[in-house]
Amino acid sequence: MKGIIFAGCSFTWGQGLYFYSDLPNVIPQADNDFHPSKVTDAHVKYKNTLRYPRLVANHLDTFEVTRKPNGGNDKMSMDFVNNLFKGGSHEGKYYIEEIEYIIFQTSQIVRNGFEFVYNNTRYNITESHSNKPFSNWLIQENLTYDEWFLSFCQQVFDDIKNFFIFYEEKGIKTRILSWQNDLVPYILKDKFMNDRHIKLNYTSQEYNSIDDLVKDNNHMLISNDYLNFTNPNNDAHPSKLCHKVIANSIITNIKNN
Amino acid sequence: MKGLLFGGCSFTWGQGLYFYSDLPKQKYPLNEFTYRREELTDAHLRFKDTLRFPRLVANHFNTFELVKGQNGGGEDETFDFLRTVFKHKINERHDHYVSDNIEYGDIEYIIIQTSQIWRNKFYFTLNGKEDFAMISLNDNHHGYNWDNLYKWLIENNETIENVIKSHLKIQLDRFENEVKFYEDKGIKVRFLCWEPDFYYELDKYPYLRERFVPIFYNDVRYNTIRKMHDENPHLKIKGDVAFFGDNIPDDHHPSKECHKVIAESIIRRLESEIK
Repeated sequence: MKGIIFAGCSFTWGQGLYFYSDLPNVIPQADNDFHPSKVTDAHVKYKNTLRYPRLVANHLDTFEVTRKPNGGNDKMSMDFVNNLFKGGSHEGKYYIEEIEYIIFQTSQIVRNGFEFVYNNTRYNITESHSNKPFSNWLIQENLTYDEWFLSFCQQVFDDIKNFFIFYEEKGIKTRILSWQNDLVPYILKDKFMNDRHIKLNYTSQEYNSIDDLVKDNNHMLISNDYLNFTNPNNDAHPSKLCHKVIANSIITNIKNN
Repeated sequence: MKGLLFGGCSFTWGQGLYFYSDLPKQKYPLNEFTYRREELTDAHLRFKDTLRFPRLVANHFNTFELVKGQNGGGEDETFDFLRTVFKHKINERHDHYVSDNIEYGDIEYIIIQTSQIWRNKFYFTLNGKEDFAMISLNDNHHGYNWDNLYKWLIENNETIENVIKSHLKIQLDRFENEVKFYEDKGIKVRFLCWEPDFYYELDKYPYLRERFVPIFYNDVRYNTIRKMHDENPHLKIKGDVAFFGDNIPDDHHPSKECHKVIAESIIRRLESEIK
């Protein structure tokens, strides 16, 4: 098999997996207060060995390409992949015919940012949607927040679908893995995307998103991993086991297809 | 287990392993001694990392491996690389070796694969200036800078035979000192040999002998990769007919299976120590 690109946010990067190492200088830090300076190069190398991209690549006897910096959103994930083929990334330059799959892990949809113009001023909101200009803009546009949010989800979904179609036409197979549920209804009702949707399998149950998996199995988060830690870190990222579950689900999907 | 640091030449780097991939744009070497980085893509490089013995050993022990970025070299480069790994901030010029900043406490084992002894510089002083030469063990010893070395031999009434003996001793002494340095830092050091030069001298170096890792293939013990290759030519890429058929790259580096064999031998040794 050729290479596999994994695009996603801190879930794909493997945030918190260094807590499972025997390495020195592991500093406890909450997931919402991440400081790269508190993570050493050894921690980064170690967590790379436990995250699902490496597990999948190892199983399929190939290599993985992931984004070096932590975090991100869906737009950044698409930019990351596009730049790999343009030679404009820190991760190297790749050719279309060198890549077999793109595995795309969706992030929190609100991180994607939304641009609007209000009172001749251009705004871009990310994360917090409660700011005053945005509320005024909704009133100006005669939209409720829910109406806007649905159209926003549709737009992000369409962007990802178009991104998938672009690479499928070039011969790269694409798969989508959902962290949160916002895009799941859009995926399920779209045959093209649903055919490429990774379902997560754990203890004979099938889940549409990492959030759903965690809801039924809270030890899938590092912060609740009492199997490995007496006093787990306050880190709500996927546990070592969760990465294995994700990896196995991707492997199963690839093998079945 | 903490990290594993691997030092060695093109054998450790994994030269030629990209020929086992399904990747396009592969150019076979002109002959077994040629290597052209510009003919390799980033995908080729990433692929070979997955098959080389450092990754196989690291995967077995659920940890990470660190290998010199640049291909090739001898012990001069290996020990320079190790120093760079731990003192990156004051040695920026070696970024082609490694860009990570690693502490002694991050590493459990250093595994060194010795290369060909003549690749290491032999230093001498000629006309008041320090100079160096590479002493080839073949070609009548006519390696790099032979002319100056020859002048030095004449001026000092020395023979090449004495220089070879002295070079071997210098290399072994340096090797032992470097190993002791890292062991003193709490890192266990083990090594295996490609060529026999180091191995033949180990009786004089019990400290090193304790740390030597033999290779086992089909229940036969090999003290050098050279010997294993001589008796099992299919463990070289150029002998791997089973994989390549009639279209074999002219590449004398360890085959995919050979990397597995080396990895298993290292794992066997480390496992016995952990138990």
